[in-house]
Amino acid sequence: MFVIVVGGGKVGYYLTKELIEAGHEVVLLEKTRARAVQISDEIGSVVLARDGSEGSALAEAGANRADIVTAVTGDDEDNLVICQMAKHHFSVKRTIARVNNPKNESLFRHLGVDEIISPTRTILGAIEQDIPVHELLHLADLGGGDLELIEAHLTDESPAIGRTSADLAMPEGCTLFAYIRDGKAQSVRAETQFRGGDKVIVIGRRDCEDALRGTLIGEDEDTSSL
Amino acid sequence: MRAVIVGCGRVGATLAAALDRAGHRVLILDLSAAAFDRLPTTFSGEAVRGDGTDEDTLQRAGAAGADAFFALTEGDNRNIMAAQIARESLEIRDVIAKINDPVRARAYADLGVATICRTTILADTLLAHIGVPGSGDPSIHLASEHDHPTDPPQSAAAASPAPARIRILGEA
Amino acid sequence: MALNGATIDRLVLAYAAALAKPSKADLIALHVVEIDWTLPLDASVAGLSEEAQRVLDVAEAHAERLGLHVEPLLLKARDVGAAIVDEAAAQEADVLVLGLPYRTRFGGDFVIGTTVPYVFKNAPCTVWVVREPMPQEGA
Repeated sequence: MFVIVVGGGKVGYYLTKELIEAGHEVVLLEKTRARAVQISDEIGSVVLARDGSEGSALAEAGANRADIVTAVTGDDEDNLVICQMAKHHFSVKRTIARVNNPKNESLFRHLGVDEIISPTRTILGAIEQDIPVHELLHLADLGGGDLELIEAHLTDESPAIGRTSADLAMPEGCTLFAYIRDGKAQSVRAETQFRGGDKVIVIGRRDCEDALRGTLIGEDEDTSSL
Repeated sequence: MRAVIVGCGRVGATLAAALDRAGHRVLILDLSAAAFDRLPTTFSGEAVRGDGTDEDTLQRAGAAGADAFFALTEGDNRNIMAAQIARESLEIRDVIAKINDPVRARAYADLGVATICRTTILADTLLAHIGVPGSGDPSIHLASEHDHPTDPPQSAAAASPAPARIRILGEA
Repeated sequence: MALNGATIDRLVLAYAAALAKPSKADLIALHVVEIDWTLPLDASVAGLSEEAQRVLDVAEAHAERLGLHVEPLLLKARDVGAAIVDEAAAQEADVLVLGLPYRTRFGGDFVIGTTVPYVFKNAPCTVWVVREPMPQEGA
């Protein structure tokens, strides 16, 4: 595959190296000349000292025949423009952007970036896995980002305890997918009764998180004071 | 009308002052508080220090639902991103981004963001001054009518008669 | 010796020949075709390979007149300097001979380009650069 990597920071540098080792054809665009020279001294003549958000730089890098353009600079606005120019100006099939501000994820997706890598979100996810709060855990994005896979930890105080799944008023567009009890995953049936300690896996729309929290976890004193 | 301006440089400050004088409500943002020194002391609008490419900041500053949005920072890409946040998340219809690279200015008009390009305006003005034909590009590239920004760009011929979506300021 | 197809090639060849003759050293005539990123490295570019072959043919014929045998070598690469250095290392060359045309940019500054400095900095062996004579005033 022919991959254009834009941004020669740590991510772009190691990405380029790994892609070459895996046998792909790679060109790296890095706008700071000194950094570009430093990288090409280390990994060879695969670096162009150009600003990848300029149309002419992408053209010079061969965007016309690139299979993938991946924008991994430290600036979200640059990554967005690089992917949009690649997609709409050069008809590149797949664009991948690094997003630093998690708030930009849905915007990028909406504006046509194919894949979004969010280090902030990933680390946040890792931290949340460790904290036993009575919260919803975001597990993964589904279906292009509008849907997500969510895990809810039920406590004895949860309004869902003792009720069957058929009794629960689920927000529209959300469905109970499975639940984990005693370390075993089981599918949710209409007659399934929930207990404290159950972990319920839900597929739902992103904007239904509040309603889901009300149904499965209950009102939290801390947030009700907002 | 209610106008949001991102970037309080010379252009942003001049525009903000003019709109304010004409009796419009102006919200202007800049990363640096010192930039607001460019505003006249009579400026009665709101100046907020913050990142105009951050959706939260724009929401908190009350930018949502404004009538017009101008992205006028020094960075082409920052302007493009601010403009797209304004269009997609703040639901502002009249959005203009200043883009100094003529190629990007044209490309983003195709993607539904109206753009203004200092480079072509200055060159064309100077050429006109000495009677030499310029690029023929409009001073503001109007956004092509698009339902969805991920549609493939329209051909230049289809894009040219785009209906004016930019109101003449001062008439509102 | 690295050849670029310009008139400087004759000078490069003459100096390389003078250097190689007494010691009966092997002479390799290297010509690198730079392929930009808009094309795959293995793309066959119409005209480009023929032109490159002609550069080497001319050098070979010229060497023959000097009573020398040269081994022609044609490479395609993204960067001429890097290709020359890599090939010199692979061939375990003792000396690299390159030509440098005398060019100036607007304003009159001499332009050394990127290839010669790159080779100076990275070549594993001795490097000779034959600079073209300055053009005569008013010529």
